[in-house]
Amino acid sequence: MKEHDSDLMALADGELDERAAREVEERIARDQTSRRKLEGVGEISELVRGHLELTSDAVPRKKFDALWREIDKSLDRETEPVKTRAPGFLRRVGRWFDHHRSHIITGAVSAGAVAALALVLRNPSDGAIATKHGPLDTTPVVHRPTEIESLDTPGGTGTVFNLEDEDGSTTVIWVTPEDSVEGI
Amino acid sequence: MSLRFWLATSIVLALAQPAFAGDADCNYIEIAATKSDKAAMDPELKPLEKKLKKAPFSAWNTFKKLSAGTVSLTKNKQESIRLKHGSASLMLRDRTEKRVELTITKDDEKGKRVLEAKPALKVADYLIVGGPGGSDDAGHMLALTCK
Amino acid sequence: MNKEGQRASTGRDPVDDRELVESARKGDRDAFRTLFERYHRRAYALAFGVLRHQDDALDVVQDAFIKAHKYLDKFEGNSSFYTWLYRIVMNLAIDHLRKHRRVRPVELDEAHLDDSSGDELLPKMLGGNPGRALLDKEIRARIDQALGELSENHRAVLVMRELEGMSYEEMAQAMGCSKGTIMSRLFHARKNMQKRLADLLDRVAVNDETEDAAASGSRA
Repeated sequence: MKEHDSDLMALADGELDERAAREVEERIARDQTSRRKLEGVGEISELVRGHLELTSDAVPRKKFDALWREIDKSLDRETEPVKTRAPGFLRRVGRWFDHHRSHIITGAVSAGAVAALALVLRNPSDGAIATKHGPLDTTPVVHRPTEIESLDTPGGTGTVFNLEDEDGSTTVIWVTPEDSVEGI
Repeated sequence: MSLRFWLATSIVLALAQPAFAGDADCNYIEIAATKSDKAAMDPELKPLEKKLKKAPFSAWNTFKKLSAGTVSLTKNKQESIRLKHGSASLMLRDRTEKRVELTITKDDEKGKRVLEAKPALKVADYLIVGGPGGSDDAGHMLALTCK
Repeated sequence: MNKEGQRASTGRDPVDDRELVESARKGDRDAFRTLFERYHRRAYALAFGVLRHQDDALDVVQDAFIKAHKYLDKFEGNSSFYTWLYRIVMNLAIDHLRKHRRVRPVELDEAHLDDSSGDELLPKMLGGNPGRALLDKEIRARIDQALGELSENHRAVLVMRELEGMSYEEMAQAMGCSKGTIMSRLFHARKNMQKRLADLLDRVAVNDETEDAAASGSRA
């Protein structure tokens, strides 16, 4: 690695102190080749960063939802031993249940009937969408990104990206005319 | 069955009524993207600012709103949108409370069809349709969100 | 290329995160879930950048969040939560590489690199806008292939630097080596990426000539 080029790289990465940075910048101002090399570092940075961000955005949401479920279960297992260590806890629960058995059963049957009624009376198309696109996800936070059922781009190429951020999903359809190459 | 049970049932029935009438309102923004010496973001593009700073939009640093509006869609009726550069159309194919299924077309300034797509998007999520702009290195986009 | 600016863009308001961490420490699972929602994709991008395998990267992200939760008491709040988290991710990713090598490692000694064309950086390659290049499927596939062909150490420093804006010192600590070694690895990683994408130069040469002709015409 030539010293000059390592200086360029350190400048691009913000690793030089003020004085050293100024010296390198003065050198670049006089030397077109050095300037283009510095731009080359920036170019690779942008390509790698952008590519990695887009690659991560392409992972479907449901994989991360499944990931969270595993994390949640693991965290539950961490805290479980503390909960069950309470002496006589199960026995106390059993005794309470025995005392209130009739009320509990009536309540459970009523709640089940109301829930069944709610399911029956739900908008049928919700169920149709859920079954058409896979099993219903019952986790509290459910995001299905936009689905493109068909795409036609006459005289060009369509590229679909999915971007995720805290505000939700954004789907991008980018159409590149056939006679051009992006970025060049 | 007790009175309490029927009261609970009637509450459930009332809540089960859909909150929408089968139509959709879609907001659209037409955006010009360029690269300049100084970055600038049109204040009216604030809701999209975070997205426009990420790849692939990081290719540009200046974003300007060209036109915007709201289109009310009823099922199977195509609505045209006149843009500053070209035109687009939207049609609502179907919807549920949380998702809308659309047909979207986009034509360039010469009236040539550049895109026809059938997206199904979640309410409040964005769809951005874009391509090269009129001048070198510029981009032209149509951002859409429906409720 | 402002590393501080880049760092700022990776996280939310640090005060906001500290409140969530505090709540999570007290057993508030929703608070920890919020932290997960904020940072899981970034953590994944980092892990995938190093491991190049989706399932392995997801495993590392899962382990990282579990570990972060376990050691929340040790998070002192001197850095942002995400800075702390990505160090866990990087350590786990590098450990994973060592334990579960899918391919025999490429020679890691910088002195034996397949860098026969000299020790200089290449100039900027793309005549247009690099961000726009990401819209081209072919270019993205080439970037992906080029990243996959780098050695693990080169790829790790490139990902840490480009995705997270880590300083040379931070990377040296993360990888347990000297700052000089980090600089050398980063230099060669970038150089190798440039070499592997170099055939795009052919298409660029034509456009550069066109641009020069247009520029001299406008000056006339």
